[in-house]
Amino acid sequence: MNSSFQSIRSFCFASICVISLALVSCENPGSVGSGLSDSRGEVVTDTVFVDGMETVNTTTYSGNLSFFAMGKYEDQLFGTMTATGYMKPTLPGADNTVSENATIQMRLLFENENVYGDTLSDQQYSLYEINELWRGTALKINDDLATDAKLGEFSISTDDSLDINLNEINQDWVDRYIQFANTDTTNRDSLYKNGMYGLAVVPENANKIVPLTVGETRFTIQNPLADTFRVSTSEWGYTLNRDTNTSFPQGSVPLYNTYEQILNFGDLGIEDLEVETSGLSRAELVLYENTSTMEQTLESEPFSVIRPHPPTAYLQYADPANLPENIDPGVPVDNVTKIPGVYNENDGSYRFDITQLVGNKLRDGLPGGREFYITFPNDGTIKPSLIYSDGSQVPTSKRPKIVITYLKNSSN
Amino acid sequence: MKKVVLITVLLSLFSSLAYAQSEDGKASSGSVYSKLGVGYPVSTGNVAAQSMGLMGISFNDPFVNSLANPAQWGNTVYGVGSGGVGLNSYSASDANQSVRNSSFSVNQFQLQFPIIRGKLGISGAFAPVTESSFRTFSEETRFVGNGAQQDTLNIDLENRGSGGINKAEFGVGWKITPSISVGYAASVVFMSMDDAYTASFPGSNYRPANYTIESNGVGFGNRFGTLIQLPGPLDRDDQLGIGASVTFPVSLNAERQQTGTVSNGAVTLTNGLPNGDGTIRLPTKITGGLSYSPSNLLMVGLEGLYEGWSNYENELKPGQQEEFVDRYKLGLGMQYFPYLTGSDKFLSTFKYRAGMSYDSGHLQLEGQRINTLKFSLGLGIRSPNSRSSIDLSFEYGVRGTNSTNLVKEQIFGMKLSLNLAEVMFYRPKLQ
Repeated sequence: MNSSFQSIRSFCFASICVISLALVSCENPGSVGSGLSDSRGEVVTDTVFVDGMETVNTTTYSGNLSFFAMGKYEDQLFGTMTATGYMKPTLPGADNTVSENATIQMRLLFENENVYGDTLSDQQYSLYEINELWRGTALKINDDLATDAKLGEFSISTDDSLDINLNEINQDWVDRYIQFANTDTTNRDSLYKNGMYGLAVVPENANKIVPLTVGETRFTIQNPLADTFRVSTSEWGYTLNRDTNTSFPQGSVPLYNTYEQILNFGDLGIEDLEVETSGLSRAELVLYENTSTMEQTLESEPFSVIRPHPPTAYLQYADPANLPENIDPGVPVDNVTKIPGVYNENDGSYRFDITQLVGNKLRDGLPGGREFYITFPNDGTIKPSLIYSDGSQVPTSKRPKIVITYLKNSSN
Repeated sequence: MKKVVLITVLLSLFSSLAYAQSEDGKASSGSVYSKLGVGYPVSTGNVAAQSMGLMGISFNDPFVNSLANPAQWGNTVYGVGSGGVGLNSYSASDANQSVRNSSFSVNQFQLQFPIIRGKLGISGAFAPVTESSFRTFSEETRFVGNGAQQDTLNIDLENRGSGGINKAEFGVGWKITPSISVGYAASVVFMSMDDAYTASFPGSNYRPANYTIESNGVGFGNRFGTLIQLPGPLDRDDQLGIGASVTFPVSLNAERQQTGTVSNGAVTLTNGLPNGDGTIRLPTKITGGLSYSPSNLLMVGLEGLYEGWSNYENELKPGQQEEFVDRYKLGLGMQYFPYLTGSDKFLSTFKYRAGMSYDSGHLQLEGQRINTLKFSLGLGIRSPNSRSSIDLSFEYGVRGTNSTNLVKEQIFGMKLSLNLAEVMFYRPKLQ
């Protein structure tokens, strides 16, 4: 009887396993029955227009950035811009002796992808010696450094670099530099800091503005009887004067990467949406560029005229009282929220993924006393754009907006 | 006593494991009609009765637990404990497509002991009353953006329901006379249901979204039952059984809230909802039936059920009440115990059961009742050394209709219960 029960039990156990496997192995859920009750979730996409967008003028820092611009160009849309470049070479190390008859060459490397103006024309510059103490980190875009008499001239063509023999430009400046370099005292650097203030590159005509790559802009010291070595720039920067006699289409506002003008709005305006944090899938801020106006204003120009375009913008959530320091690159004052927005060439829009930001707002709220700012990267180049604002003149399809996709409880 | 504790622990552990498996989302989707109301009603009959299409209120097996009729506990001779699990496969179809879901569930867990052998017995049980277990899944493609930068967005939307109403019940049965027994049971009835939605967006940088409607409630229930067993109405060895029970309405104080998880479940957020709290009133349930045993080898039963779902109220979902109608169920089945002949043939060692049932259902959607027709077979496997047994039930049923935007389900089910007898107080001297 026991063995019989064992057999039965084994048979049943095996049968149960097989049947169980058959019953559970083919699960293939679908939408059948999804409409049986009023319990309903649906993915909803809502659009909220951003209201209260304004422009803010800020005077920001323009020194010791990745590039520094120099040149002049008359843009019929964004005005006549005059950029003066400033730089100061470091002294060679104390163990590097500079001969009195050494040759000093200034090597300039250009960021040709971001040349603003007629790329095929020559741009004339005059070289001046700066006549006041300045620091790159403190230089602001509207500063005006005093200069002495003109040292010489040079021009930039279409090459990507230029070597300038400073001995041919001004031997007196070279001699004084060599004198500081060979000073054998402990206060050599201090004497140099207060004795020579560097060089100013002032545009003479208005063909283009050329940004210089700081890392490759250097001074080469050639000793006739000894080694040749290079020194880098210790201070660099630029100042910009913009003469804006031009007018902009109503509802469109200029946005400059130089922070001369940035966009500002106070709130996202999503409070009326029935969005829960966990239901949020994506939130996107969309800003449209007035591409038609921008293109029209270039149509009368030669094909070689280029207006550099920022491929990226930033949405920053910052305290208005601490502008522009808290939105400057590399200066994380106030722990500012900074979200990149990528330019979409297909529809001329900047799109910012603000999902995390909106999620934080829904869950914990955002820090008080802050506002939103839209900026372009301030890297020492000059790049403008014309952005559709929220005015009534702006077509609805081009108004700044936030597109939110979320899972909504649509149950009755 | 150690045996009782061991069995209790094992059954509890098994139940917990089974519940855990049923909640992990891998095999926990059952009837799509359990989406409505507070879930689909679950039979209180044991596996043996269900394999005959019956509820088990009109007959008594001293070696198998029963929750169907409290009066049966008055006939308790042996301490018995049982637990069961079920596995169902639902092939659901509407006018356009068909899907298949599988559901693993714990049926019930019960301990039953005699206080006065054969006269007074008690029962403690944990058993489901309704079950909500469904999963629907839909795919959608939308076009986002305009013009040249228009792109497609694939949306997968899943709705998963789990939980239901369960009860923890304690009751007593009293055999007043050799033919008449009565019983009463009181229970704590509690509801815990989740209705969860998850949206995902494959192939995009949209992040998954989710929310869950969590409903909870508690109430108290009670029921009465009577069992009349009349020996020899037609012959010397035959017996007629008449049973009935009434389960009184239960009011659950319930509440619901919307929750959601973010950061991969690290943060749970809660929000209130309209109709966030209220009362859920479960209806009266009346069961009755007849069983006739020409001999101790054979039994035939006919049992019915009425539930007044038209009186069901749910203040959390007031719009759904018109979908509920009174429920009627009728079952006809038989069992055959060849082992009682003393035969030692292999096939004579089993208990055999078969039956069918028709359930009008408690739902009426689009003017159509969601009825269920089921056919079932059962097999009982006896322990060679004790009165314990394993009961298996296999069933096939058809529920609903796929006309008028409704769903027709083909149900393939298997249930198993482990019945442990002689666990306390009394061990028969003669096997």
